[in-house]
Amino acid sequence: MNLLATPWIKAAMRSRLYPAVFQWTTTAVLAVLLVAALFGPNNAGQNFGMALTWTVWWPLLPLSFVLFGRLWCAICPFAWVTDRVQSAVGVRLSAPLVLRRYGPWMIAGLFVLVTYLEEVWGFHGDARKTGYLLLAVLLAVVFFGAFFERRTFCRHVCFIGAFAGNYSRAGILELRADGDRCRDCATQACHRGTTGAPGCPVFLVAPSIDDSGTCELCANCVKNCPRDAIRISTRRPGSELWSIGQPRPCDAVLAAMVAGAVLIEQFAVTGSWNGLVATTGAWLHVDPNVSFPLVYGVLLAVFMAAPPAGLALASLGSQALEGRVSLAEIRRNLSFAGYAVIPLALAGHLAHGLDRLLTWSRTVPFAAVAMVGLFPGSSGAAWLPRRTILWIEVAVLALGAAVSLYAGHRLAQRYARRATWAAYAPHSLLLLILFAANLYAVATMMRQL
Amino acid sequence: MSRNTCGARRRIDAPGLRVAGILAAVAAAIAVPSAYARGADSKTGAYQLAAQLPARIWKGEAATLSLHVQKSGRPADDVAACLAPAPLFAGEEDATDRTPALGSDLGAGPEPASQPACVMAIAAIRTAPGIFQFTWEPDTAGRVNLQFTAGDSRLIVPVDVGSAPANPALLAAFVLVAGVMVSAARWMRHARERQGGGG
Repeated sequence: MNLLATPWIKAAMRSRLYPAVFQWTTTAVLAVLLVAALFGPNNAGQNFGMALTWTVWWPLLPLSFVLFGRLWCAICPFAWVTDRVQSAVGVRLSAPLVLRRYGPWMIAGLFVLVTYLEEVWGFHGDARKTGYLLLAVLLAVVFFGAFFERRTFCRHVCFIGAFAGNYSRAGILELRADGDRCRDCATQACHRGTTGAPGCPVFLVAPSIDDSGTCELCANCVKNCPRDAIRISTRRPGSELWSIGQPRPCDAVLAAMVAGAVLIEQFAVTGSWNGLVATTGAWLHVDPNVSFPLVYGVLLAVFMAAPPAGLALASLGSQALEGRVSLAEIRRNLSFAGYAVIPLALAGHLAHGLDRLLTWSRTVPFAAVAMVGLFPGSSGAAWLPRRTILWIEVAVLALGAAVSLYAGHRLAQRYARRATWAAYAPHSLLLLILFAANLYAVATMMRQL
Repeated sequence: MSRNTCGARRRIDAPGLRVAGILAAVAAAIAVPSAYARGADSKTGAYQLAAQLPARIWKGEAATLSLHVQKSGRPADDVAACLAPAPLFAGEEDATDRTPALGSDLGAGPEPASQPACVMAIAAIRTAPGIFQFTWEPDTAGRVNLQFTAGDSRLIVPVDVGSAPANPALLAAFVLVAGVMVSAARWMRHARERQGGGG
């Protein structure tokens, strides 16, 4: 269903106020968050900025990519800052070649770094550190906005891109151009822009968009297109994963890495975690309390490397069962099959986020009134009983696993040279192992109740 | 000893040292514990309790709190004194805490298991007749209820735990670096425009 066929949606998308109104709102909220994080109480539950960032925004972010594609990126306050800095002083250099070539891998590296620092420095428990993190991101945004064209930071650097692209691919919204109308278009207004609106901020040419991993739904192309060729449609969730046009190994590896990052976050809140840290410390011959950054670094490396390594092994097994083992074939197999991991990684991320949202977000209104010096009585703990929350997590994980297994089957039908079952079996085993690991973490939390 | 005291009196006449003396007095006043906060629960308990708290308590820094316990006007030692600091509303870190007192944030202190008389709370060390001392390192900021107990008596003292302000050097560095980047970009843009205009 083309949403732009609805007159008021089309009018809204063409309006100059979209996405500006949302950007102004999120920028105002960012300003409040920054002030609260840097100057408010340094306590997660009583700091409005902290409570809103870590118990509402962060858990809801993956869900927003599923429901609205990368719309968040269009209304992100950092994107607004980029645009403002650029229009004021921007030099507008081309994005460096190294970013264009290795951008996804750099994003993966930054994602690992932020995940590591988040645990070692305890961002979500320390308002000041959250404030410093926001300032550091703001500096990077100012730098890229000042020197490079369009939204180079958003496209090639922002660590949220590590999962934003893949989750949007699994989402229910897509922007595409009508190829027939675009065929003999010489203006490329969608890319270059017009006097009415700038060109695509993330360097896309509408007719060549064949996946939802990059488009931010900023609607500049909707405003600029002289032939009314753009459509924004709903679709079955996950359908893009098995119809992906040009599979890229970096997307597959990123999906698997995110699955590993989610898994370590899940384990970190279980009772097994302390034992795991102690064992790793003993194995490294260090005191895990004193050398926690080292111990956590090793654990994070293992957790984040295990799913990509498993994916590579599954691809090797898949090709061996098909009787075609070569580096090129394994790489091709991995590139395709990796997209099947995305729904499960997303489900794990959502489940972990729901845990935080349903358990802790009740502190937000209390933290808001605490900003003006009022301290109401106890807010109680969670929105729902803990056991109910954990069962919701199980349901989300099961749904993600089901979509992953289905996507894997559909992908195997596409890329298998001979037998589908041979191509599919090792990957389905990997998906089941990942599902079981997530379930184990949730079950451990249930046992602790 | 008296010579030292006299020497100190003479030296304080110098203007610089006088200022230093005032500053030292201010610092000492800040460091000196506040007056006793009294409020024993006399209806249910047999002991009179009075707490002595530092004027400022910061999150992440150890604070020494004292509890004065008396019975019939005389110091009482035959009790186990305990401290249970409870935030007035649940914070992120308290939400899943199943400890008593609405999710007490216990901070640093002896392990509950080793203090059977102070289950899930901080136990005191007796430092003088009827005086018990607690070491509390708050890991939460904002309004906190300190609940002192001794025997069957209870004293609740609400305190505000402060937060150390953001590092001004880091904030200044941020402003400086952002300013340098923006200025450099503006200069480059003007240079390019001049080149373009000249060409």
